[in-house]
Amino acid sequence: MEIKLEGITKKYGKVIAVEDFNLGVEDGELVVFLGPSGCGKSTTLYCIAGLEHPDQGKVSIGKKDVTLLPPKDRNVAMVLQSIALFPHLSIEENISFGLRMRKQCSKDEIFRRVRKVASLLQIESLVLRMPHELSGGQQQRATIARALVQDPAVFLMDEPFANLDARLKLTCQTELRRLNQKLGMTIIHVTHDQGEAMSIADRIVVMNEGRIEQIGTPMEVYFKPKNRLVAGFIGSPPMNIFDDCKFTVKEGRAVVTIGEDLEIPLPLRLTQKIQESGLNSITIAIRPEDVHLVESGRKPSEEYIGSLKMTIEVIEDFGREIEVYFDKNGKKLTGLFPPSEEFQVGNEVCVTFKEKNLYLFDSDTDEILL
Amino acid sequence: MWKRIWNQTKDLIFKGDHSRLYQIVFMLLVVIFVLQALFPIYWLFISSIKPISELYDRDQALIPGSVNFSGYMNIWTFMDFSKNLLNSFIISGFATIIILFIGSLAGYVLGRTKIKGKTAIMVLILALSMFPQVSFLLPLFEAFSRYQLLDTHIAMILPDSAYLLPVGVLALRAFYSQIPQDLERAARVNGCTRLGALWRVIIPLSMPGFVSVGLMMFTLVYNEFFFANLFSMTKASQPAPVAVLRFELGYYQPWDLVTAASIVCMIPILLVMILAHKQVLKGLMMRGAV
Repeated sequence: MEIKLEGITKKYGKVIAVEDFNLGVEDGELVVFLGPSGCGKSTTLYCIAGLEHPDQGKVSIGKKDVTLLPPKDRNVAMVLQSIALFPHLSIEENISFGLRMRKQCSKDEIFRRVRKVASLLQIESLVLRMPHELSGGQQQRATIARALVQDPAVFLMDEPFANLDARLKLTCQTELRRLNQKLGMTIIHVTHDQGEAMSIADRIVVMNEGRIEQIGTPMEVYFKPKNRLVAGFIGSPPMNIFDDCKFTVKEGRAVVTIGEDLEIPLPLRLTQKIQESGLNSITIAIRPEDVHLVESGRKPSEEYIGSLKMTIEVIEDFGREIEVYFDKNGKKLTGLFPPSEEFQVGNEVCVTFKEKNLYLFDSDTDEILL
Repeated sequence: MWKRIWNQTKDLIFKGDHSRLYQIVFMLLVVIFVLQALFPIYWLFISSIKPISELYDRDQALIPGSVNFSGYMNIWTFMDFSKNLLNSFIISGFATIIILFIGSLAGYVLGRTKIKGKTAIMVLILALSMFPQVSFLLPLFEAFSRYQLLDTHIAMILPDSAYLLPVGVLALRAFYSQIPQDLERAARVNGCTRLGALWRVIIPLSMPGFVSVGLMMFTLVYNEFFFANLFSMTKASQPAPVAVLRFELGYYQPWDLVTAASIVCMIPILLVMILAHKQVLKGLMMRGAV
């Protein structure tokens, strides 16, 4: 079912947790709220679930205004951050808890639905055990089963994978995506892990300090970040960002200076943008995968710009790729390379950047220059 | 055998530390402390089983010459002590139920909700329980006599539960606040109201605490003397401790009966202690499971 949030504001005393939050979620969509801890993601989710009431604004589920309804009357199910299985009840009693509370179906019906959901999540052999007898991953699946069994219109997940080990997390992410596609339910998922958000979301809502920074598909937030914060938050390893760079215009082309002596000449396209904006200094950002090497002395081809002499400081091998950290007079740069290239710590090399994927931000407002 | 027990205790308490002199002095002090705490109870007990002739003798022996349990029979026949015990159970039972019922709700509000001025309310409630009991005496006596409640169970149930409620609220609040917020949230998104979550999740999970508070309240009300002594006049409402004090046959106090009744009075509390001990262990085990 579709969800609509209009101007949601929630304060705790003087602290503003969420401010003027507007979002429409379509039926069957998987939306991820992404942001650092304490940015208001969970509070927004609680407002949708009914665990908190917003100070201002309206929450609608379907066509119905539910702003002031208690959670039990909203037809939502939620998986909470800590696993939160009831420790005094068996897994079966945990899963059937919601159905028993709502008293909508018969005992046989409850039994049937619990078995069905348990088999979907592959925990049917564990339903008679107590929560503490299960492993972390099994407990996690039990909480998801507890939410799923209610056949909710909306499925809310508050960092459900935060306590899982890395491998299990990946499995669960795929599982969640599969459930969303198979059952077609609307899911709102909260996480601070950008990789998780990128991998499962239809759309990502990037949040910071109670505000929405950007809403977009994973590709949009990755390739068209609206501002410096989104650019820095999305992607791993993070973008190389150089703040407050001075620039001069030589022969009709702007040349950006990073630190004292690292110069990047910009193409005409970007030069124009800078001149139109009338700024004195800009923030320049480059993704690690857009950093390349050139043999010193040779001019890089058309699509690459700049040629900086930097020293290799640290090398991290990941098999599929190599992360290389460069340094020049305290200015750091991270690059991502295919494993075929050979690197040696301490060597001085010439790096260049892919022109197409260079990002420029206004140093004062942190907005992207378009 | 004594040597083995001594060695084991020594290892447990001192873990190989300290000199031999320190160990002996330490143990000696422990023994003195235990003796001085237990001696009055021992004295009470032997007095209750002494024959009358020995009980009123000028020379009192630490070990009675002969044993006579007639006191334990006579308290039921001459004094109708079972009626007093029943009164005690009625008063303590109802007061405990009232305290747990109101305390569980108040503890929830004060421990788990965000209400402005929560601390102020808490302090106010606590302050009420710090007043001396005697300051409530006149108004209570007036009220009870006007509504003809004097010498009824209610005349003790009401003031006892009101006076002990703050302590109960405070204790329950502490137990509640240990239950993770997410469990309550989970209950609420699974179709419970706030009260439903309290009843089905929070209370079951704080059961060890709930039972401990209940047993503690039961004991405190059972031992309560001040209100009981003033508001009960006859067998109709007199709880056991007050009855023991008022035992009289003609013009003399029958010490054989008083001592026997005192020992009988202790038995329920001893049972409560054993129960509480089990419950505390159970609580610890559950904590591990959660």
